[in-house]
Amino acid sequence: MQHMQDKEFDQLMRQKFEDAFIEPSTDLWKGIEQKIEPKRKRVLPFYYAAAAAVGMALTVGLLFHKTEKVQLHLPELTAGKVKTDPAENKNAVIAVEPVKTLDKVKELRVAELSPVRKKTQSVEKNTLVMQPLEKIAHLDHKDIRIKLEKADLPKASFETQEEPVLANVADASAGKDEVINENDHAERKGIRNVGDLINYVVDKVDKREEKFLQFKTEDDNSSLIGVNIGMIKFNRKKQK
Amino acid sequence: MPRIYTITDLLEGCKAGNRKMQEMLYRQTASGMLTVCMRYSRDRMEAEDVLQLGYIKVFQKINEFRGEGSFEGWIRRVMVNTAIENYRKNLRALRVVAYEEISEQPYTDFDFSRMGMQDLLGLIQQLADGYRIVFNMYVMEGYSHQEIAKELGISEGTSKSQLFRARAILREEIIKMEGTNYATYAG
Repeated sequence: MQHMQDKEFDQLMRQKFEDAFIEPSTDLWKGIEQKIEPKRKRVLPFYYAAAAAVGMALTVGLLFHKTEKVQLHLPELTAGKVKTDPAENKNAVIAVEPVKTLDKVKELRVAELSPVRKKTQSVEKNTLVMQPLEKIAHLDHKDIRIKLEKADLPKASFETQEEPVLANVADASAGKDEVINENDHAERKGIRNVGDLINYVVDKVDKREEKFLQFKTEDDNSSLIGVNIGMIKFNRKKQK
Repeated sequence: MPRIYTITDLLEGCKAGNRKMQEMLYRQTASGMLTVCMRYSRDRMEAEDVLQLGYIKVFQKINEFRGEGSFEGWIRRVMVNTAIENYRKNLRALRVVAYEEISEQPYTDFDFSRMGMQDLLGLIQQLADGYRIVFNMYVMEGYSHQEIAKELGISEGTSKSQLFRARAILREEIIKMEGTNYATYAG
């Protein structure tokens, strides 16, 4: 045999593998078939997403419904028997309803379990809830000390602090009536125009502080002042 | 009676996303392609993984085949590229090979024309990953050292020395094998 050059060696190697066949395992095709499933099926997640969105909306709606009960029945709060879900408390904000003529109350805390929203939305929401309250906080000349706290408070401390404070609220019977939701104001004035009508209907449907649709009706020209539909949020009151 | 499809029929069927045609193409070409994948892999399991990935790519990219060259040649290139990707992904202990392995024996006269493909494949699979890939790309696929260097992110010099060592190890192993074969014949 002659001395074998690299080229020969390579040539011979290639020849050995020409027309060489090795049968793959029998189940290999199934694996390939699974991974090349038609792309049409990708359309499905859209429907899932839509269904999930509807589910979310319902859940959020239910949560608002719950919290609204706590908000409207202040006397129940004084009894200190508020049983709320700890999960809700986590995101809750201790807020103060707009108080206009409240002189005697030195310290006031009204628990408002603000709408519980998930993660980033909850932060956004919380800051919005706090905005008007910060304005009130500036009116310190009326001896109203308002404490704003993010209620990361554990449930226990939440309840113990509640009783003495709200006892004060009960004493200040004059002030108590003034603790009214602005929307209740509008309701009392009766329905004078289309804006009132819409506000009334919206108020029945949406119990949140920030309605999904809100009109200013003081003047005769009803004008839109608040929109709150999930991502789209707008409130002219807070921009003043 | 099963109809006989030409490779062109299969190509058109696959382009249309016809599942039956895809399977037919696989059945017709897979055993040849597995041989290619085996050369690039340590063992059958790795080779079959590459083969599977390769066919998924073939079906996904089939519309990119413009009919330049043979369809089978194109499938083979997809397989080789998949094997190269797999190597890059698993880049393990490249160039870590004990130098004692390579004897500095001068080229001896030997003949491996009688050796079977399976034996040679076994030897190639035993090569260190870095040697094996350069050997395959250069000898079997005809890449230049420049192309190999670019594909694998190594220098041309490294590519050359890896090829040199790969050949040297293969020669040595072939001689050993042939020796045992002769011994068998003699005994």
